[in-house]
Amino acid sequence: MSVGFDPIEVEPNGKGGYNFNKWELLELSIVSVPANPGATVFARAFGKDGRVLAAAHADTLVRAHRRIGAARQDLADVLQAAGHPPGDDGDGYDPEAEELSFDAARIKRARAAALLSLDCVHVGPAAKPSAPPRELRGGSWLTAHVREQEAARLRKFWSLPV
Amino acid sequence: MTCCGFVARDGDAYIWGDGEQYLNGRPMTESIERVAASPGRLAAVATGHSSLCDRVRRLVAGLGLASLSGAIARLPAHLRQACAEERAHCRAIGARYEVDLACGLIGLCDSEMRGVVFAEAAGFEPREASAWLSPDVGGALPATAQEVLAVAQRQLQFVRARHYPGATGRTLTVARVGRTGIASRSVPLMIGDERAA
Repeated sequence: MSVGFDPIEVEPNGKGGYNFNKWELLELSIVSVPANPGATVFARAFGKDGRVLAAAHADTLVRAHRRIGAARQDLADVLQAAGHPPGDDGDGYDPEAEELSFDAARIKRARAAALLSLDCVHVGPAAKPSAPPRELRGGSWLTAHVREQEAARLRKFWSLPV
Repeated sequence: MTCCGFVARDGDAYIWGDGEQYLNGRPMTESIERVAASPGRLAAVATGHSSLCDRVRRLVAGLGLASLSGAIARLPAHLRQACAEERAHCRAIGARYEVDLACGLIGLCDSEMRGVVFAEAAGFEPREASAWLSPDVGGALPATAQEVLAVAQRQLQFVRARHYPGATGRTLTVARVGRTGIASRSVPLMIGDERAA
């Protein structure tokens, strides 16, 4: 199982670790190779206390997950045949809409992080503008300035007298 | 219509542009990269015909280590030539040519960060500006990349309201230009509920 979350409230637990009292879930998925080699899978759905599954039983969990998906699709087909619009399973809950909003929140976070990193990257500070302020010099100043500079560059290139 | 612009500040500058292309008044599926950079630490963004925007990108990249002064001296002639060729091409295929190319360029000039706008409507005469927004939606000028995103979203809402209701802006490229280099990020311009707002 892979879990990704943003900690909101964290406190040390006195055993060298931390207790995450409040957190926001970002990602939850079944993975074939766990980061923790001692990880076990509990089948909470089959008993009150849970049952430890061997690695071979993880496939059963995956198959069950697929069957749930197929059952949801069957239910959606029946509801659609009965006149309900797609995505409406009777209780107003739309899993596709929730998934989309979940993805949107995640993309927004990634976007904010990317833009923040742009502000933090070092591009070298430019010198402060010299007086007078550029607005007072107007647009024609730059054109005249450029022409002078280019003329000087060409004179230097062709070794012409100034 | 491209959502783009720049703001040159004391110390550094931001320049941005969306990636949407339009065909017959509708957004296309392909996106385009509009922010161009040169090895001489100049950055430019263009709005207009996509082929001309692409030409501007190649022109700016081909400036090599030219300074802002050198770029201002060379670009107008190149831009005029590019537009003349595009106009001839449109005439040959019987298409209508619209005079709408505009290009914003930022870089260092005498150690100061400066911005210049070349507009086809003004014959590509360089016009110095500390900020340029296309379309101009007014409001406060951005001081951070996040504020650039907010300005670009305002621009896109303007485009959606006035020109193309189906515009999404696709990818927004934001570049930050400083004395020693250029950094850029590409992010989605509008996500989920932002489009509905």
